[in-house]
Parts: sequence; structure tokens; C-alpha cells
Amino acid sequence: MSRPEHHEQQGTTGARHAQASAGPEAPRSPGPRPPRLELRDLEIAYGSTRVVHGVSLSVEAGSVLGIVGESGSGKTSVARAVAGELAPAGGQVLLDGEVLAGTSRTIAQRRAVQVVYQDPYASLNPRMTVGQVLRELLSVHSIVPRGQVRSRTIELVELVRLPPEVLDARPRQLSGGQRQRVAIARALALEPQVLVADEPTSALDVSVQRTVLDLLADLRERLGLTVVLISHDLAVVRRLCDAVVVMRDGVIVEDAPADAFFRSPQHPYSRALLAAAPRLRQADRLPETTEDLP
Amino acid sequence: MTRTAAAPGHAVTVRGLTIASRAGTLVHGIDLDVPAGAAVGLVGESGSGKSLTLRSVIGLLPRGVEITGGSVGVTGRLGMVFQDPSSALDPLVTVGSQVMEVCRHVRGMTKAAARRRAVELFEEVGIPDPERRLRSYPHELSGGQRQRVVLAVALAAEPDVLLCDEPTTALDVTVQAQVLALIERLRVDRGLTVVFVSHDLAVVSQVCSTVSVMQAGRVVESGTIDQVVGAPQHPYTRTLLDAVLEIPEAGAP
Repeated sequence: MSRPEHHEQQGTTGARHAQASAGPEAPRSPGPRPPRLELRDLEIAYGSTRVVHGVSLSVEAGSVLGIVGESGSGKTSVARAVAGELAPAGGQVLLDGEVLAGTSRTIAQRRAVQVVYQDPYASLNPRMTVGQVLRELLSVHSIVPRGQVRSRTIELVELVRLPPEVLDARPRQLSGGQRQRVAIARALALEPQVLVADEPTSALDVSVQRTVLDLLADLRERLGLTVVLISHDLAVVRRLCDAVVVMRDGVIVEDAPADAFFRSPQHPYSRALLAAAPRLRQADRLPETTEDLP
Repeated sequence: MTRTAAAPGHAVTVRGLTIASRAGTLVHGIDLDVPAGAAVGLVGESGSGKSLTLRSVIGLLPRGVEITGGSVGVTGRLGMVFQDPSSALDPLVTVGSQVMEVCRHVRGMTKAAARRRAVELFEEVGIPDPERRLRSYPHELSGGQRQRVVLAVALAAEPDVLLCDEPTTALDVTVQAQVLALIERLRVDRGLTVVFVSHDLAVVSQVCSTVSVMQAGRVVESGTIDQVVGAPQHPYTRTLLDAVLEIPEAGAP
């Protein structure tokens, strides 16, 4: 694999890369390297309803941040703002220290942040084969020379541990887990710096869920990919993430390294979330009463 | 297929149940015993046949899918709770009317009696301010409140057996814990028999005392939760157990 190494270099020389993607005349901030992704006082509103209130966080290059919360917490809105799918009502999204426009981003900026959604079926064109989807992306964005497009598509499906025959299949011929791998391959085709994964395993069977999580962990390792994982499932977050942000009603209630978070969550709501997570129970233990949560 | 009474002491007895569609056989001659008053889980991944098995008990198989062999024996009245509370409720009718409708037409109550009963049922399933909530439409309630309403609708028929098809899968985790605790309380208070279908072995272990593991239309293992979780016999059960991502209790070492 020649391309993925490209990412590894970026992971260790983020500052140089920031200059490259911002253009030669972009100002270089002196001092320490900025985080790969940073949110500063992000505000998101739908019409007059404000759903995210002053969210600030940062993600180091090559690390995985988990954003957890329940429905209505604002976690998916944050993901959409990071991906440039909706314009924030206030605050900034920064990639390598460079402010990204709300929705009118440059092609390079759009390529730099890719998203994988919960339902891979809805996000893949049913009429196109996997090979067609990938070849089109590689050609439109001139990611590899014309002569290398075909071999690059094979590399991409191998990267997500699918056999090359998948290239001739249409989405409905694939299982849910295979489709999610294809969605990941499609995101990686654009060689992003940041992968936003919005509930990537929630629609999958548990045994498949685990293989997709293992794949994401492996890609992060091999490509030095920076990942923002949106999930309601703390077990998924625990498996993959270096840091955890807990959101509730549009604000961050806790932001902690993953180890510290799972060992001693500080906020009462974080503790309630952890207590409510279903655990395997032997019949001799009675369920705790959880009717009255904070 | 023949529909009979369950075996003595049992609420549901399934023998050699085979379910098929034109595409082929979906459930291959399974047996299931649900003692009266017990909570029995059916666990498996998509396509395992767990939901079809549950639906065949109440006679709600999808169009084009039918029972082609075996028998389902039921003793007592059945009630069912579905995965998605918003599609189980009529969006154009107040939640109170939906409960009262069951009280009137299934239990033969007068309008006034049905209304009193609906308030009692809302109280029983933990809906705050039930008098006011009777007049709400489903979209005015949260997902957890809607699932409580679905439970109230099911309870309005005074069932002996509650069939639950992934009743908490669409809910947030804190709400899921509350609804699981509610189902457990209703089971104990009312002496209900519960058949609980889920893809999540951890959730099943919270509610049930015994479980059958299904894979590709067959029961591959069944036993008490202790046996199945503590000493799984079938490789597929072990795969499911390995796939459960455990998080330790907060503060645990």
C-alpha cells in the first residue's frame, strides 16, 4: 500500500501538512502544533431553536475521540457541523489550526473531513457497483493517475478487508457489515485527515459490530487516521476511543481521557449513563432499580 | 398447523414449529417451552427467526410468511409490545383514546369506566400526570413515554402473557433501563408470563431467567441465564458472548 503511508507521515508532521492544505500564503502560527481538529464555542441552531450551546473540544492527530450522548444531546449536529453539512450559528471548526467555512468549503477542505453514517444502505447509490462508486471518486478528484485508478480500488477494498470481487457487487448484494466496510472504503478513497463516524455500528448485528470496530481501530493504527466517533453506546466508545466527551441537551458535561472516564466519571449524568448500560447478569444477581435517574 | 392449549403449567408450548416463505424455510422445527409466570428470552442476530417465532405465537406473521409445520399452544390472553413505539401507535388518535378503545372493545367497559381504567393503567406504567397525558398525541411524548403507552395499551386487554419484540432497542440507554425495570415490575406485580426477544444477550439477561439462542432458524442452545452466560455449550453462543462489549461498573478496578 503506497497511499496509506502518506497518512502516517501526516500524522507525525501535522504542521507541514496544515501549510500544504491552507495554501502557501496561509499564515503559520508559531509555537506548538495545533490540534488536528478543534471546535471553538460551536453554536448550532435549526431555525430559532438552538440545539448546541458553546461546544469546545480538540482532537489530536491520530487519536480517536468519542462523543456520547442520548437522543437530543446534539452529538449528531456537532458531527454534521464538523463535516460541513450544516453551517454553525456561531463559533468555529478548525482543521490543523485553519478555520473551515460552515458549508462553503474548498474541495480540499471537503476531502479532508469524511463521514461514515449509521445506515450504509442509505448512503450508497443502489444502481452503481462498488467499483463504479470508487472509480468515480478517484477520477473526479484526480486522486491517482488515470492508469492507477483500477489498482487503487483493489487496494481500497483490501484495506477494509473485503475481497476484490466486491467491486462488481451492488449495495443490495452485500451484507450490512460489508456495506459499512464499503462506506468506509469510499470515505478513505479521498484520503481524509479526519473520519467522522456517526453511529457506524448501530445498525449491525453484534458479531459484525465487533469486526467493524476492529477495522476502525486497525485503520487508525495503520493510517494514523484521526477519528471522531459519535455513539450512544459506551461499550463501543470504550473499545475504540482515547478520549470521551459526554453531551447532554447541547452542552458538554464531561470531557476526559477514556481511561479516567470509565474509571471515575465525574458528572452525575455520566455516572447515570454508565450505570444504565446493559451488562451480562447471572441469574443470582437482581437488577438494580433504575427508575429514578437524575 | 394446529393451535391448541399449552402444556399443563405452561403459557406457551411450541413444538416442531416450521415457518416458511416462498424463498424457503425460515424457522426449522423449533421447540420452545414457556412456563406460566416465567420470563423466557429468545436471542439471536438478524435472520435468526426469533421475531418470526414470537409473531407466530400471536398469529401476526408478515404477508407471504406462514407456519408450515408443528404446533403453537397458548394458554391465556396474549399482549404484544413492539420495537418501535411510534409505529405501534396511531398518530392521529390521542394516547388516552387508544387505551380506552381496548378497554371498551376487548373488556366491554363503558366509556366512563374505560377512562378511569386508562388513568389507572397510565399510573401503573409510570406516566406522570396521567389525566392530562390521556389527551396527548403520540408525537407529543418522548420515545420512552410512548413505549410506556404501548405497554398500557397491551395491559388494557388484561393479558396473561406479554410478548416483547425488542421493546427497548429504539430507546436511549437510560430510558431502556427504566423500561426494563418496568417490565420486570409488571411481571412480578401482575404475575405475567414474559417472552422477550432481543439481539442483545445483556438485555435478555436483565429480564429473563431462561434463554434460547437462535441462529439461522434453529435453536442452537437453551438453558438458564446462568448456564448459557456462565458455561455456553454451542460455538455460536460463545461468539455472541464474545461480541458483547462489556464495560466495568464505574469505580470497579
